[in-house]
Amino acid sequence: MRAIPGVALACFLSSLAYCSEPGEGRVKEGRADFDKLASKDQALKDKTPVGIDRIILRDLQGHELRPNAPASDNQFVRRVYLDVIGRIPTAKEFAEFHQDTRRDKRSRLIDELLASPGHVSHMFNWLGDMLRVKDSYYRIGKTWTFHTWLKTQLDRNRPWNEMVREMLTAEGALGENGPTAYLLRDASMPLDSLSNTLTTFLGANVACAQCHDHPFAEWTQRDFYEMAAFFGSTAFDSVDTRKPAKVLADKRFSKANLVTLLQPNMERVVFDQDRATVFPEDYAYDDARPGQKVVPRFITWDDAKKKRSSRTSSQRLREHFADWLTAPDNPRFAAAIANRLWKKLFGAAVKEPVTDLDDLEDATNPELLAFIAQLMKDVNFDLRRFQRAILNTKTYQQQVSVTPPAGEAFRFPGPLLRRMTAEQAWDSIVLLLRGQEVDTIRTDHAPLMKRLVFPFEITHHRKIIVKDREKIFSFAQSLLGDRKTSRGAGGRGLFMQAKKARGQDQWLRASELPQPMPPTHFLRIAGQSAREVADDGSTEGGITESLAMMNGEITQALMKKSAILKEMRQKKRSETEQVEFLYKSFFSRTPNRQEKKRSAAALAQKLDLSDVIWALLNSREFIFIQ
Amino acid sequence: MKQLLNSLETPTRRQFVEGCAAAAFGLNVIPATGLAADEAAPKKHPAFGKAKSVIWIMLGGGLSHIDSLDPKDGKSKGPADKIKTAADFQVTSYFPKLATVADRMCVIRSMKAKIGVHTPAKYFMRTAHETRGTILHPNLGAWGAHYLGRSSDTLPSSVCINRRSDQGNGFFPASYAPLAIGEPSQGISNVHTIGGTGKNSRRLKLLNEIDAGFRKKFNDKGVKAYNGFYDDALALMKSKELEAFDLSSEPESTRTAYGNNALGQGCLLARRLVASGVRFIEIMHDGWDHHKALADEMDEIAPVFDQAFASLISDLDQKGMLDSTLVVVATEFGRKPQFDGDGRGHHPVCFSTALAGGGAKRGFVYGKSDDRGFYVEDDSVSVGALHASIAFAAGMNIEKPAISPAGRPMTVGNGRKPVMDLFA
Repeated sequence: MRAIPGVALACFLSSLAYCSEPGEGRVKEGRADFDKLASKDQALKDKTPVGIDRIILRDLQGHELRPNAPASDNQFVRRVYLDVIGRIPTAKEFAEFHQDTRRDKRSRLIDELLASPGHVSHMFNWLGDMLRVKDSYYRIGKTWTFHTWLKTQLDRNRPWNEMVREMLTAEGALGENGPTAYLLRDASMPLDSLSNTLTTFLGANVACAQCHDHPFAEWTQRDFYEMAAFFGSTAFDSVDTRKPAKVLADKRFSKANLVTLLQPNMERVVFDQDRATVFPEDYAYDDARPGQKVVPRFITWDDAKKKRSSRTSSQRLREHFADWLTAPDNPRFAAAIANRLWKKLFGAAVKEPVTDLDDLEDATNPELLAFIAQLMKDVNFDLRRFQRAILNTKTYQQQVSVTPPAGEAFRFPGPLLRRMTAEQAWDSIVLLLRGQEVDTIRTDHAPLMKRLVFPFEITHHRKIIVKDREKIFSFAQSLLGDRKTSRGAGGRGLFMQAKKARGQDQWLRASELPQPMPPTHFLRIAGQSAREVADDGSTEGGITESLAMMNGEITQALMKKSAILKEMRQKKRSETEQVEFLYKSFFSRTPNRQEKKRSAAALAQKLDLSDVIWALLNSREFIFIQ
Repeated sequence: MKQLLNSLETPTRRQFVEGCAAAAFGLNVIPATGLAADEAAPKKHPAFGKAKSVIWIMLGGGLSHIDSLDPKDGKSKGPADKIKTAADFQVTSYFPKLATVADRMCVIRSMKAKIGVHTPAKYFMRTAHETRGTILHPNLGAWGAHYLGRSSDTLPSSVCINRRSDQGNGFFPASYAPLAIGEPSQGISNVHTIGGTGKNSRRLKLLNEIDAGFRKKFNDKGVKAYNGFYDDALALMKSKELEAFDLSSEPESTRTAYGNNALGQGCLLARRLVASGVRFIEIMHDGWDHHKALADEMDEIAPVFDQAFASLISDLDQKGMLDSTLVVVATEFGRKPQFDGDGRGHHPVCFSTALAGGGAKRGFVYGKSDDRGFYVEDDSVSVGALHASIAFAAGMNIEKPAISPAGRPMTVGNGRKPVMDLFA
């Protein structure tokens, strides 16, 4: 077991959390350690935000710019709820913050939100877009064990370097080891898989080098293949489980049923010493021959240093790669995640696009990028501590700017005005519909997959798997209990209880719904990524979204049976108080006198409170984050 | 380049707004006019730009070319016999109605590809590019919007029927994605106000009052784009052309003629949309993956397509719309000449597609497969060349590439050239 730096805070945070599974990766630390880390953390909390503000101020002054005015409490509370737990605050939460008179109430709220279940849900969505989290992969069946794994890591605040390392090195069957899903995602296209890995985690803009030398960056096709060679002896077993299923099928269990049963067992990441990466048939450069075996070698961003080849045994190649990639002294790993989190909180990265960090000096503020990359290392890749430092800066707590015109760099006089992500919009609407309970409702389908894991070894070879038929069949029969028909239930339904798993409850937070939702669902209409390519979530909006906001199911539900309506009916309030309550619920502010007058006039003219709800929901003020 | 890459305007995948979409803050996101025509464009050819609209019928699975448009004798022969058509080529007896409109068809018997797996093959047929984990490619509807601008003031330029809206805009902005119609007989979703138009306009008034301060305070292009989307949505809700989506106004006899099923009604809807100015419409029809019981399954599914397709062609023709509408029959791949049990496996190296109208030759067969139907013998046509040909007919100046978010030049049909011999 590797030591987990920053685990004290993680334990502290997860003790506040609502769902924790015993077992893997949980480490208990002594009291002394906790104090040490806590005081270091306190220092970071005090000094780092100041350091960030100072760097930004210097840069702004250098360009004859000034920071924005401080954000009001109203602006801050709505922004920080959306940025940390992915939804707007309720009217009650808004009032509580308002009534709090302590001087450090903002940093207290930041800590409280970072430790709350909503933060896990929100981070899962954020990673879901980055890592293309999907319920089913093509031909690989369900990946629920991966979702549960991700949520558990976030819940425990597992350091980012460890999470990434585990995804890259995971071995074994998908049903048993969730993070294997990361590599299984692109099992049929290992080169694209590597390209995504390097782009996402390091911001290495290598995709072009897959087929030819990069036209305007340094990367060569040879670089790409040398990196790919670290995965050369990684095999993805039985990616098409239909073949062994076909061999096994008889009148007791159909092929479709067996595919469902075999997938969690046979979709595996394994070591295969007979495999190695070779240069492609159409390799166009004369420094290697097509078909020649590639020697694994790490890329470097510094021309002065020579590339380091790996002399490790082929069995350890992938681990070697993961160690190199996630090491604090990797020149891009900390910077990449720091830059991405910065973008998440400010609406723009220090270096855009986040997928290209080839030239760090090219950032709008290279000193800032270096500083936050160092901060990420100082907090040992603890994403909550990192975000806490950023959230406590004056810069984050200033008023927003509008997106500058094309070609003009944004120097962070405050965050950018942003549209909510699809998930933030949906989770806020579900909150208004159901109330605060939505934060704590969780779905977990991994147990459905895990119960399919064979309690015995099988031959992972389709031609001789028939030897294991009786073992597999009697296990399958035991899963079905008294059920007599074993052939029916259309494949997945029989073992996965797919109908049940799909969930009867539609008003759940986005992280607890199918990943991604079908294209006709509001989440997708509002820009949830289809999870086919990384970082594909959209906040652009469109006609279909506006139609859904004006006339769709969520709007009808909000107007007819929402929690906010119920609350208004239960409490005897004047019309003005009710309008005020709605303004707090949607905008986290009270209406001014003119706004009150207008609402009153509207209510006098054949409109009722549900029409006010309609208008608030469809306003730009609702969907944009100040 | 570095300068460009560093600004916030870096063309990341989604924010990628091309030059032509700078008009995003007007009434419509897709500009009214396309790219400036290039002098070198091949517009002198009479067929260039003849197809004002394209109806793309996508047969999901893989249409067995040997059992449909490219019948064979001997060992390859399937359960159906050859029949004569209105043109001087033959088809199988599964398609008697299609045979009557064959004089208006241009069959391609020499399609050649290499992907024999459903999902990637479907993606390849729709985009002419192989699936990548790093970029999405546009379909012809999005390319049309790129090159030609929007095709209607109030309706979308691209629609897909019986399928999701993905595999649409690709790397272009979200506004280039097709409008998805899940169930053709139900029309378009969320276009009806809650509680009537009178109430809605009072609500809108309240909304504009509530929001005026915010909109004034934030002179932001994202906010302005939203104002535009709402205007567009309201225009669509009020559009008289919305009736185009409503099949109930068609005479019962017409609806029956197309067939009371998703494909038939989808083809009828497509015809109505074409008449209202929608440029690109895909109709998805699944059920063509005949690994088993090919004879039984063809008996069931072939008549559905046969009736819908023949009705569409003759209806378009009667209404004088066939010359300006290019109908395409596409599929994922063909099926093997040899039987595996009572079905046939996937066969991408040789298969058939068909065109009709929009300047394509009439009663014509292009290309030739070998006697077994295994390999292409003459004039092979790649999926890219098929795309380039359709784009040519639709009047797109495809010589001029679009720049992808990663800065790569991308072209319709992945650089393939139109097959000029398909056009009259």
